Amino acid sequence: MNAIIGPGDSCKTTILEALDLVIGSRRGSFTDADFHQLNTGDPIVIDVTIGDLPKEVLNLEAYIRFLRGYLWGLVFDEPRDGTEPVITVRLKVGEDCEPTWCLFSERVDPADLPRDIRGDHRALISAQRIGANVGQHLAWGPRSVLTRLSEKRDGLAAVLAKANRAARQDFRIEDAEDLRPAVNSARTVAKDMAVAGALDAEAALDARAVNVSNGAIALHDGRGVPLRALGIGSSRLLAAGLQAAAAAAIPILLLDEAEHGLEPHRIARMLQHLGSKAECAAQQIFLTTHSPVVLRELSAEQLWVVRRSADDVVKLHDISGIEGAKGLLRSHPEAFLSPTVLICEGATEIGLCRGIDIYETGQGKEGMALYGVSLADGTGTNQWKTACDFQRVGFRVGLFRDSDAAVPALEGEFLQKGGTVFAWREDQSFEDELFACLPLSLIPKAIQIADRLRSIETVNESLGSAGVRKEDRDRIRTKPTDADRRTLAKASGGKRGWFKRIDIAEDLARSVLNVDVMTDKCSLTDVIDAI
Amino acid sequence: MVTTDDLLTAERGIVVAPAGCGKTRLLVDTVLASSGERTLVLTHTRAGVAVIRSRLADHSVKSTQCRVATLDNWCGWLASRFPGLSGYVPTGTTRDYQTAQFGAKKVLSSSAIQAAVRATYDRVLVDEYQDCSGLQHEIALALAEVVPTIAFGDPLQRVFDFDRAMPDWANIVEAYRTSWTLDFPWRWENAGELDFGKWILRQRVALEAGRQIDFRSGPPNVRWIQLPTDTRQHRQINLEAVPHPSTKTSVFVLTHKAKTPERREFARQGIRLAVVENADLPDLMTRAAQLQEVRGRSRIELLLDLAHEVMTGIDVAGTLARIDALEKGTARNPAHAEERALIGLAMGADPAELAAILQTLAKARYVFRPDLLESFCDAARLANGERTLKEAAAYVRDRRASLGRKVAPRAVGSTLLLKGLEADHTVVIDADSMKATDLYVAISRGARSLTVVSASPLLPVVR
Repeated sequence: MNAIIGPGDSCKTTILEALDLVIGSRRGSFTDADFHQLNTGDPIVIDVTIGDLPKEVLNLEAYIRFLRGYLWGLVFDEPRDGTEPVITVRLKVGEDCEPTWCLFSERVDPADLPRDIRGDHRALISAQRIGANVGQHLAWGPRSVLTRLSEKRDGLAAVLAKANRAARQDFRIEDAEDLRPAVNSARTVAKDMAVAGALDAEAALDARAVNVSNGAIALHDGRGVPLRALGIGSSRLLAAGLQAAAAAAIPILLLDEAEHGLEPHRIARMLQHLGSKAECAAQQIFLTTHSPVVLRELSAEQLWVVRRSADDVVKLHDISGIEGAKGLLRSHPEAFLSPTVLICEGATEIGLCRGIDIYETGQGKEGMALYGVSLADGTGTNQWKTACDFQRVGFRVGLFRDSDAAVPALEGEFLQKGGTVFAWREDQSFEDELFACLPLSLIPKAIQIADRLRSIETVNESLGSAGVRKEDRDRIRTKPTDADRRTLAKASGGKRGWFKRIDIAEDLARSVLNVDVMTDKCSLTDVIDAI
Repeated sequence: MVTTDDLLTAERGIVVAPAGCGKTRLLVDTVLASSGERTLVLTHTRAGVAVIRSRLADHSVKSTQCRVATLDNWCGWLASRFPGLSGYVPTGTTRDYQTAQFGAKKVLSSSAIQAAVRATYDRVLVDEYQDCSGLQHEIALALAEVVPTIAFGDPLQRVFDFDRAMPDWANIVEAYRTSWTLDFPWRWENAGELDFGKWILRQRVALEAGRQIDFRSGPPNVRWIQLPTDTRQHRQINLEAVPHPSTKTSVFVLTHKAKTPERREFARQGIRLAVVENADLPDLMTRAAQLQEVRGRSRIELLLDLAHEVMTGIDVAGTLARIDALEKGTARNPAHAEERALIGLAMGADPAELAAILQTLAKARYVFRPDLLESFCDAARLANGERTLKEAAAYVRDRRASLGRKVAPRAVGSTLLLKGLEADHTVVIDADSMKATDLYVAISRGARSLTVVSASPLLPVVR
């Protein structure tokens, strides 16, 4: 299962479209507008290389000149040792806008192309798409899944012809008196124009109107309502399920907007039915999605990020290599769906960002979402690796770190590739910075938040270990002085610090560190403003 | 008794098949019995391919169900499709079999190709395995690693036109793990001569064990004629050993493979024996090359020389002298039709004239090399402005090879040329010079009788 994700206009759907054109419906009429930069002199070429080949296609006698080898993302024109034998199907559209399909290998003289794969073998490596219109999948048609699931395809036409004949016999003009005047007019005209064959014209059912390729046979519910009238979600669910049932006949499934029309629980159900958790799925699936719910259901190996570079090169990036991807998929799936990720060292940084964001949007200002920014937990020590990995697969990445730990060598690489680091002053932890910058009038408010969300006892305990005597506790809580700043920084910091929880840091940022409360500029607000 | 079921269920195996014991039938039956499966049949000669193909066609086996090819041809096909892996690029007409085979072996070492081979063929049958070179044996084994593979062969029928190192038969049998031996002499049973057939099978066992055959003590079908020490009588004795042409039965006369000129002279003696030509018709190619460009009197001379080579009653020197005399006007008798035609040849250049005149000459004479004559005439007729005589000859040669050989009912040839073929009566002359393998091939051709002409009654001669 392959989920293709990425920001809008990054070509997600185009990729499904391309697969559909080459190994799916193979329909498509092309115009000049389909060419890159409208340059019709530069032909459209789409190559789809397929592995895990069925016996019929792996056959040397039939396809020896087209067998190629695949290994680690590379295609070798000759299937050398250790490679997987694969075959490449090519769609080419030239200046005449006429599409041609053929097998491709560098060994074959272009003049000998196109040589297409045999029709009956094509089905063995073909794809079906569940797009916007699912109605066709709920009826028997030339390419519909129901037809593939039917045992005898020829039988369909026979049944239909019989029904059609019966309907024509049952249809009597006497029952349709409304048609009589029109028939009579036709007869009169025939007489006037001396068209002998039309003198006895009669209204009857047209035999051509009913045929299999028009989807004349479709699924209906118990009351006779066609199932295509189901809600979008239900009909898509049904269509997807049918595809899975026909996995043996349809090896590849293309699914646009997997979440379309489905509630979270139905998304999970559909993905699992299609094999999201299967060791060895019966069908290969390519889907696009914008939903964190879909992402939560998938593993990192199943996700591909589309990125379009400045020179219009579109690439799919495997995200399973991102440090911590597995955890992030559960905790912050949104990160993978945004163009920009802000990696936060830990709970404090996440909470601070969220708090600021909630405050700002509450004030009617532009929030992070508007800028396509998502937060991700860098889980402390691994954050640099995570940041660089996100960068490698094409994200715009910021890193919000604490300044109490040594900065690793990776920072140079990260900055050089355009990353931004948000940090407190050198060697200052958040708590150092907080209690150094907070106006004395606001310090009690900060301690209150800790008292409320941690508990007074916990706060007292840490004040005690920072050397605050029992009798001084109330004074610090109500009238702190500049002399208390270092003590408070010490008491609130450390491994089990007061603000090292998302909700607490969030509360602190929302109610204290916002721009309307912290009106004076300082090193603390500098960082927050920068973010 | 080995059955097709044995072969269809074996992962690999070898069928040791003495002559006339139904090897080809077993091979064809195996293909027929493997319904729904795809078989690759590999052999060594195009004639062998033609025989198997025609047998399969008799049973309407489709080409998609069974591919029959020579090992060289199949290797060339495989290697040329993957030039990068094989390092083999076919260059025009000269096919470098050795490079193709090395290339095929390299290609077969790729795991991806192995998967494709497995998907393509359900079984490989390799015929005439005794003729496999070391490299061909390795290629067959590479296939056996991937697909069930059955070899068919007989070490006692290993005869070649040149010496080459061959893989040891014992090693071959070991490599194929299971071996079966055909032991019922169908060829003789079908001729109603079962005892004769059993005797030949016993002699094979003796030869295999390095013992000699005593031709004095065979069944009534076996006649031994002793050659006296006086070599001047040999030709007459040899000629008299051949059954009279009036009988409607087929006869093979076999000699040592090296004695090509002797066989031609023997056939010229007018006892209705046709010379069996080499499959690649080297004489056709030489003659076509000679006659392609030549004009004038030399054209007449070379044509007469060719005629003399294929038929009786051509006096090259005498005819040339007559033509010279006729041209100078010194001849006493006027030119007759044949001579006029020959004189006309000096003026022309059309290859078709050569065919016409050869056929005129053949009418009144006995042709003892009909294959050479026919193929030359075919080539001469096919040659035209676009195709030289040499090219036409190559085309005729290849076409004949792919159609398979048809040997005349009364033929003289070497063990090499006649192996695998069958006649009613066999005459082995020059048997003293034969090795065990040649001797076995020679004595196992005839279904009804065997005549051996030799100095020693015990053969092969111990050297």
